[in-house]
Amino acid sequence: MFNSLKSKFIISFITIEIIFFTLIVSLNFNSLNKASQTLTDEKMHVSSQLLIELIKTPLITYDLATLDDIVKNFSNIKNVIAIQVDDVNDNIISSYIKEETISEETFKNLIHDNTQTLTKDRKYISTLVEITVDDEHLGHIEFVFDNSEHIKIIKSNQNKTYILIAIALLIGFLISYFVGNKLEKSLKHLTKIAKDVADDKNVVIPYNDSHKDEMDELFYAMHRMQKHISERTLNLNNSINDLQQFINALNHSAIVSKTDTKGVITYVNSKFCEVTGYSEEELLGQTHNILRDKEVGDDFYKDMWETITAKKIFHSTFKNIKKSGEPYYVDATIVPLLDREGNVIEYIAIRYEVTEIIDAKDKAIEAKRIKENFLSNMSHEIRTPMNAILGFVQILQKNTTNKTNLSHLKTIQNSSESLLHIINDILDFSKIESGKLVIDKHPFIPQYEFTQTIELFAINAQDKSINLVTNIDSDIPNCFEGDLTRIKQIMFNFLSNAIKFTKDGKSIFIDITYKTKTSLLCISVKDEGIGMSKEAQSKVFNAFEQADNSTTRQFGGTGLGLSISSKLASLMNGEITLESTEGMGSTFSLYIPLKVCKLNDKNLSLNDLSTEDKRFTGKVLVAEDNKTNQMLIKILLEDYGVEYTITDDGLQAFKAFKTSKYDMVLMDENMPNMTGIQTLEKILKYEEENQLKHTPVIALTANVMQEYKQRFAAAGMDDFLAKPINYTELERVLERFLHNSKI
Amino acid sequence: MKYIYTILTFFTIATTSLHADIIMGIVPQQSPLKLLKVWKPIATYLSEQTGEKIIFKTEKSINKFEEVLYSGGYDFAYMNPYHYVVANKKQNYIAHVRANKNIRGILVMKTDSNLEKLKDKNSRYLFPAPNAFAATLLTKYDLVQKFGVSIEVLNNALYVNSHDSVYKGISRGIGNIGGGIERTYKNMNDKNVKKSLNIVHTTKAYPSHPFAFKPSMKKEVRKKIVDALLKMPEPLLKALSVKKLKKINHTEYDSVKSLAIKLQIMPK
Repeated sequence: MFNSLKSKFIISFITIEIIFFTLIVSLNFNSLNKASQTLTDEKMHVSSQLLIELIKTPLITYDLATLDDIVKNFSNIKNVIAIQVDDVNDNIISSYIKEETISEETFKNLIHDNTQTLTKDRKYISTLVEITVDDEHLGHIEFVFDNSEHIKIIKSNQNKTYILIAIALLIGFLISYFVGNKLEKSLKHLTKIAKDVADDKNVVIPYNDSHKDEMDELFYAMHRMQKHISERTLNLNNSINDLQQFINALNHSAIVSKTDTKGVITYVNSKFCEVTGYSEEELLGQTHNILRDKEVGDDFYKDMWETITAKKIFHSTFKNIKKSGEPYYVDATIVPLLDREGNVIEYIAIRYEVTEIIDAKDKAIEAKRIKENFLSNMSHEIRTPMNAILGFVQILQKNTTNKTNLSHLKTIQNSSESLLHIINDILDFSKIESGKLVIDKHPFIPQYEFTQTIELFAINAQDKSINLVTNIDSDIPNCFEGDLTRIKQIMFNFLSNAIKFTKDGKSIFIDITYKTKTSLLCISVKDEGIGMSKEAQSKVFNAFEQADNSTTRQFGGTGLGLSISSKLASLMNGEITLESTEGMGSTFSLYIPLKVCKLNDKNLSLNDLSTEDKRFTGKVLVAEDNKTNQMLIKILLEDYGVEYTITDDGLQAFKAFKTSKYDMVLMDENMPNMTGIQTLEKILKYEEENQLKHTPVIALTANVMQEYKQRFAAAGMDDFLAKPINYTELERVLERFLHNSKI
Repeated sequence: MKYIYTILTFFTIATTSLHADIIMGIVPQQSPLKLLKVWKPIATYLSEQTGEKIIFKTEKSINKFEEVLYSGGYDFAYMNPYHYVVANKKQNYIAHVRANKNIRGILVMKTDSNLEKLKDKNSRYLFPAPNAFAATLLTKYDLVQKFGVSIEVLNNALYVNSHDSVYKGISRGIGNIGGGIERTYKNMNDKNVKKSLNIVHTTKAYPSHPFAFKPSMKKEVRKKIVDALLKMPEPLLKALSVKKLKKINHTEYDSVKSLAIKLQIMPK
């Protein structure tokens, strides 16, 4: 009964009222009693003093008539009901009693007791006051004061107060009952509304905009809350709907599963079952180990668990095994699902089967590998005989004086170099395409290098009576740091094209400048050739394309040159521009940023580039299975005055290495019995075991692909020489590892 | 309380109005309050009847009254016969009106007492005032003449200001023998007092209290007052315990005068 808010409200209200009323009333009554007492005391004091003053004279003269009159008149004072005057001998000489108020006996008793007497509704106070004149005692008066009126007033006041309190309590009760009732009604209404809202029922909340009281405000607030809830619910439903559609879309497209924090599967979608071949019952309660390919290492899964337990998203491609034992690949994203405190509660994995993509990728990789192998093999297989051809042509040229023969030899050399050039272009293109071409920066002397390059075309130009007009800016710095080989390759391409497309008697203008402010080197080659149409210009940098098909037929070439040049320029952060007018000629310009460096001991100097014949002292071990190449190397080394031992394979080379001391080893890679790298490993091990000083081992191979170079370096090769052997490169290697002995 | 204030106020008013109005002096044989109750209506009556403003005046004591009277302080006055013979001698006051009755002095004692007490040396005598005619002078005269008791010799007399005080004093044991007059004793309202007393002796009759007028008062005024007194309505007369007032010749008081001479209280 007393649990309701209304009862509590009423009881609290009334209790507080009673407590306060009690306190107020008790304080009020107490004060009233005190005030009444004080008033009575004062009244009695004043009255007695006045009476004494009046009766002194008649008392002295025993004028009892006057005394009686005074006493009688005094008794008319309100509330004085009896007076007695005694002389010095305590004889009663005058007295007056209002007989209608008290009896003589009561009066005597009061006088005798000299106290207060209380009857049912009356209170009499008697008092005795001595009468003295100049310290002479004349007698005393005693009179009785009726304090009933005060008591009556107090009682009346009390009664009225009690009535007022009762009325106040009643009104308080009625108000609190009314308010409590209203409050209870409103709260019940609100409770019902809240329940209905909670039960998602359609509720109309009455509200009043004017906000008469807090309850109105509450209803208005509830109305607003319900409105917000409705809107939020609508948004939530829309979101859920959207989410459901997303989930549907996801389930239709992706393999979805959820696991608890221990990795136990708690949910799989139909796609999961469809792909894996397991039923839902078979999967739930299991871990994903059921699908695991045992070939996949623990590190992979360890990495995965470390990522997701750190609340991060893990994304990778998994190789799994279907129920049938068939492997399949999925591209999986595993997302940790967190609770409000940020703790992981479960994981969701969304996977897309990528078996076909992986297969295709594998196939593509395999195809690429095959292509690269093919290119590598082709390069190797072509370079090896080319090495011999060019080498022997050069030897023959040195030993032949017959002009016709020399001319034939020149043709052979040109054709071979052209073929080598084509092979190099194809290899470069392949490297660029596969992203394996690395820009290798070294300091170089631009004036010298560019002049040398241009001079290489002097004979060709002379043959066609083409003027080569060269303008190398004298302000070009002495030293640049860059990939000279590639810059020269681009120049070579520009110049060979210019000569190729320029008719006899015309000129080619070569202009080389450097802008310090922008650090841009510009190599510009302008010809007076056939020029190109706009359409041709747009295609000229595409691979395998020339200005038109007739160009190929007329001028030859693979059509890779400008494409490679353009890509090389990009790799060096530069660019190639073309200005051309059909029938008037073309201008190709290379712009590349180059750092200026200073010439010092570590850099190349012009002396190093001396073209004089060189001779070296030292003993070289050569491992080469190809007899032709053996012969070529033999001739070359003899030319440089170097001692040598030729072996047919790695096994023989290693035996020779152990039996004799060498200053350098030239090691072919592709050899029977023991490859070049295997032989190197044996040599290094042997040196280590016998604490021998290391003998430089230089790879000499037609495997010029970048990855081979890296593999050789990684294996411990000290340097690399490509086949066909370039004299300059051979001299560089001999200079590096043998003693130079000038003739 | 209200009355006390009224009395005090009255004295003040009476004093300030002395020369403008006709002052009616009344011998204070009773308490001032009682006098006021009786005489104020009479003064009002006389004022209405005569067209003069007549003011009631009394004094705190008979002695004071005598002092004022003998100095001619009242235009006319109601006094005892002894006062009259003295006032007549000193200020030529002339008596014109008195009650249609004679005055007798009385001696009262408590009922439980006896005449033996008269001669008791320890007995105390109560009188209103030393010169109260009937109550003091007549009774003293008779005490000497008839009982051989000289108050002056006993030196045991107490003057208690009024007749009522004498009766009450005897009743309440203040004194043993009291001197009064028949009229005041009869008019005594306090039954308890009266019940406790006995009249043990009554003196010879003498003319009662006269209204004596100052000779300076205009005749027509005096006449108007005398006529009004003679025509005084019964309720006022009753308050005075008088049946009727009558016109008199002042020679009626010669007996009083001779008595005063005998008592050697007549001023020279």
